[in-house]
Amino acid sequence: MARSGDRVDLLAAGLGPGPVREASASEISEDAIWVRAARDGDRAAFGQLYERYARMVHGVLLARVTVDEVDDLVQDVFIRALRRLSTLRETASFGAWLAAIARNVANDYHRRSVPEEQLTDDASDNEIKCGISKGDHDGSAVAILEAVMSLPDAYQETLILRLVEGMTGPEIAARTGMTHGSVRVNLHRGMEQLRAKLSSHSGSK
Amino acid sequence: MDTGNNQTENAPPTKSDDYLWDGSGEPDPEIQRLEALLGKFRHDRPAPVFPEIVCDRRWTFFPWRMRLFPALAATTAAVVAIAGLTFLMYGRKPAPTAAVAGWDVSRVAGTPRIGRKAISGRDGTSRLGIGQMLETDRQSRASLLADEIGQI
Repeated sequence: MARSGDRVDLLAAGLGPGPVREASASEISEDAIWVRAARDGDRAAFGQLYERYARMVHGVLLARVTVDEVDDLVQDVFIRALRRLSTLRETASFGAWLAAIARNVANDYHRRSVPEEQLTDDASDNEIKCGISKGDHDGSAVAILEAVMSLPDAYQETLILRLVEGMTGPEIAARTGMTHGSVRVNLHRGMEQLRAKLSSHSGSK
Repeated sequence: MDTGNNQTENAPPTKSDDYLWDGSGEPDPEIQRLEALLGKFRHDRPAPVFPEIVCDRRWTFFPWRMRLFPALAATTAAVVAIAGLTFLMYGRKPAPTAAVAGWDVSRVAGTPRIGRKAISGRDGTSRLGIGQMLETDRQSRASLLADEIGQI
């Protein structure tokens, strides 16, 4: 007999509510069609993939590099993906493959910019890690983003996709290739830790 | 240390978090405030103009590892060619006669034989190998030069 706790177990097993699963399945088959078309030289099909995945890529990068660099790196990720599209063997796992490329691009960015950062004495560790440029952004928004960046990596990425990019949990799972259960746990625990950080931060003022 | 959850599911959330999960249920004012503040960092750029996609259909029938095949074939062909040339240049040289163990035989008169082969010709010399027999008839004579012994 189903109890209230059973629902979460079903979600964790990837057996979430019907409509969400159906949408994911149709999206996956659409992805496969677009990937095949893009491989055949159809730029419009690749544009469709961009429209669907740009927010995910942006969020993954925002969890790792400076706000000012993210937009350029989003383009780098898609151009790198375009060049390597023929190497993608499982067309249905395009999202997870693209997320991996985005993480690699962020790592490459840090590798390239290490000498510059070492020369900059006044840059704090936190600024280097989360890379928030304070120039054009609201102070409280920057402070909240910094608090998100101080969380464990898996929580950072999931919370940024939810709170910054406005994606729902099922969307995050569908785009990144993570299971519903993992995304739900990351959102819940990450939000718990974020609330604690923000309340301690406001209490110390 | 809590490092987050990438793929495994640990203890599931106990508190209702439907709004955080998919925006359904009762809105959480704090999450709404965070969404409003952080939403200004959201991606809002249109799709760029992507470069021409070069079709790579030649390779779609092969596993990606098979792309090494042309390089492998070229390397094999080069190795075979070098081995062939080396054999042609050095492989057909006859073994030097000096290396054959035995005694030097010089014809003195007539036609002495080593086995079936007669020692004749201008120089009238040959070599008596191990196990071979030198034959002379009444008209034939030969001299032998043995290592460490001298002329016989």
